[in-house]
Amino acid sequence: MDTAETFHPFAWTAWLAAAVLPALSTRNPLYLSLILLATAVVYAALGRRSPLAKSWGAFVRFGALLWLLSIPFTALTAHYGTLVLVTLPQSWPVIGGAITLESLLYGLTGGLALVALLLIFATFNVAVDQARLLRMTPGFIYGAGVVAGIAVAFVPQMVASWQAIREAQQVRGHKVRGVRDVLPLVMPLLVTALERAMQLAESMEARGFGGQVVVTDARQRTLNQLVLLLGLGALGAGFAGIGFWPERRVLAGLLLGAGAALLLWSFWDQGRRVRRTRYHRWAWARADRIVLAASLTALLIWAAAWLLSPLWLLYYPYPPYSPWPGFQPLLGAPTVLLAVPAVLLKPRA
Amino acid sequence: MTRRAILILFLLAALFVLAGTSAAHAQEAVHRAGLVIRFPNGDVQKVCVSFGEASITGEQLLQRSGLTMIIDYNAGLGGAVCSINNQGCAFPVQDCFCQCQGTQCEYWAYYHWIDGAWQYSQVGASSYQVTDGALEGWSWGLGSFGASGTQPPQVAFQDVCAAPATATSTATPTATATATLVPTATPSPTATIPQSQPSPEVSFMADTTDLVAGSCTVLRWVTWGADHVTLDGMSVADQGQSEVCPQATQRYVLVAANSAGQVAQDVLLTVQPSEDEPPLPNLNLTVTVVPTRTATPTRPPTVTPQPSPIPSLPAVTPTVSAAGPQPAVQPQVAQPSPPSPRAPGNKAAAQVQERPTASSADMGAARALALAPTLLAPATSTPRPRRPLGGDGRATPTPILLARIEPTSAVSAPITDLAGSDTPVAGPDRGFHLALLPGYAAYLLIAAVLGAIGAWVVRRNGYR
Repeated sequence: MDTAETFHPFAWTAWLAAAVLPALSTRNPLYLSLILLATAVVYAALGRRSPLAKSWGAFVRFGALLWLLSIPFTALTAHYGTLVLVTLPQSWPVIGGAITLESLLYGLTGGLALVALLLIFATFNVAVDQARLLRMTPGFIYGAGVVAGIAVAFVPQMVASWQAIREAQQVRGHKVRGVRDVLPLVMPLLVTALERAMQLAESMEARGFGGQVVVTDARQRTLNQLVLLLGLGALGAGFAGIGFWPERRVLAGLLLGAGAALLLWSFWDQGRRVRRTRYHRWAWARADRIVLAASLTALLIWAAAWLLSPLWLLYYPYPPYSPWPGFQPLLGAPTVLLAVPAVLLKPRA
Repeated sequence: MTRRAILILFLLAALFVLAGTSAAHAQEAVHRAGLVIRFPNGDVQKVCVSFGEASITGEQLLQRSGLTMIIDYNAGLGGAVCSINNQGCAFPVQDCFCQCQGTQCEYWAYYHWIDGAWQYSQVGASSYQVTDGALEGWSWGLGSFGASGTQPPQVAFQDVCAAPATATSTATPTATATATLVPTATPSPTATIPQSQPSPEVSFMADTTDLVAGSCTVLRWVTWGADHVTLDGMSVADQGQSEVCPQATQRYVLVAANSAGQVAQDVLLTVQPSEDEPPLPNLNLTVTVVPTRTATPTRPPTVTPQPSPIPSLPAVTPTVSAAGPQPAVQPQVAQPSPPSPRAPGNKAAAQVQERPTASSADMGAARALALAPTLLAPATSTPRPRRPLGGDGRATPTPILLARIEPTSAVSAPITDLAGSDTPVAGPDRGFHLALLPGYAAYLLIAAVLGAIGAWVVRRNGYR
């Protein structure tokens, strides 16, 4: 069987979309748990690829903690439902009243969706490093892409350096017993963060970041700005039209279409002038194509169900709906496809 | 034992003591509040809710009314009412404010009856405290501040919650809500309300008050000094007349209101059943109701009151001695509902066994008990077929004047459809169904496949 170190960023993006859509569109614990399981399998197969990837374990633990906190919050504040577990005195503010099984289930499923999302993004970040993602941004917004890449990497980098500092201090016999003992950990963290920022700025400066990428004259620039303004205005008017004049659908549709066309033309026109060379083009291997096809299939099945039969995805434990979640095998089976990357990944020695 | 453990134990003990005392405290008094609900098609439903606490939230009031509703809890603290009796927005499928996208904004607006007028609520139902004697309104429409929104109809509190019952409570209500009562239903539909100085005056009468089913009569009224005049919740002119053809005995209430207050006067139209219908059995009977209701009602109205002549258990013995040949008020059965023509009485009987006190206007219950001999077969309330949500399920066109007094426990009562209307009730299909099992089997299979892949991956990677 073909195995690969990792896959094409496009294949991973398709996998991300296929995994995120169910986690965003349903609260049914059965589907969510299957998604969670498939993602966990992929996460386990990826292993700890880099120190940056290692930091995502902390995120997942944090998500689980949030989940555990959100369950009692929902259960204690929403006194609705018929399956009463225990009744707190009414005189207690906010939490007084019936504590129902429905509210407990609702907190449980909401937190499950949150944890699934966190694990999905953790897996995606471990699988695809930021540099590769950055290459996928269109030429004319390269600057914005770099800034977004730095911003996304900020927190994982902090977590990674926090772990490194803690390990280094532990080797020196440092133990955290109280608030005072945190200081030897926080100070180096601040210093390293500042140092890293300076280093990054210098290296970007050395590579000519922020220089004139788009070669334009004043007339072209003005035209581009005007088109951008018109396009955004038309889009805004179109969205407002949908809300405020629901009977004038054609006008709103025309406005939306015109705005989108103007914006696209402006982007294309700006991107046309940016000349960027690529050092290394990613070749599509067979494994990449399999992952892409599997992810797109899962995505399409779920999107079709979402659009055609939204009742399948519905889960709301409060009356008048049932606290028992339904399960459609047709909708659950594609989650197996999300585990395909795990099978195709090269095992780590 | 460490100090911390002792502290935790102490706190827990304090918590339980607190819980015990306040729970006992909550059982003492019976407060009542009225709910007036105006549905999208203009129908109005009135429900009287009783509660033991000093005050409950507007949301709890709605929940205890026994109506079917969908509440959205996604917005954090407090819920948004999306649908009442399946009218409104079917929330998780639709948006909770599905008719509020853009300029046209129709939703379930919340009102309070303050100083003789409806006022748009400044806070959400979860934050508003309802006290004894309050009248709360819910209206589907353009709710807004001031008077521009669609307000619920003008009604008097006495229309919703009839005058306090002269019931003699023979047993002390216990915490498990097995309250026992002897509701002596005395028909006293006194119309006039104690007035302050320049309140309106009303003259309200019918041509004939004794009717045979199918015949009609004319209601006539004249009012003096009123700003709003409503007949059964519908706004009418200061003076006028209206022909009515009630199918069953019904009370019509005219409310005249101005800034000083309001006056309600009613006319009772007694309808004799036509000859093909058997006459009602005589009243003044004793029925023993053994409620199977527990503190945690899981399903709506599957409780079966089993009338038996022998008092088998000492639990509940409501003795109803209703004087007079006819009950004063009863649920109107305009369109016979699908399950059986006995359904209204049946339902009302189900209502009785969870009611610690019966008020004077609670004659529907009396009639239900009068019907009890016909219910000697196990009287299970047949669940009605559920309507698709967001459909055009019509609410009752009847003014419901039955006081619903529930046990003073905080447990929300099972949903009982009092009005005999054909509004769908959340049926017992909230429970487990065998039809779910194949899906669960498929789920386990898929999970097993994923688990096997995971185990294989982990072994190949050589963890541990």
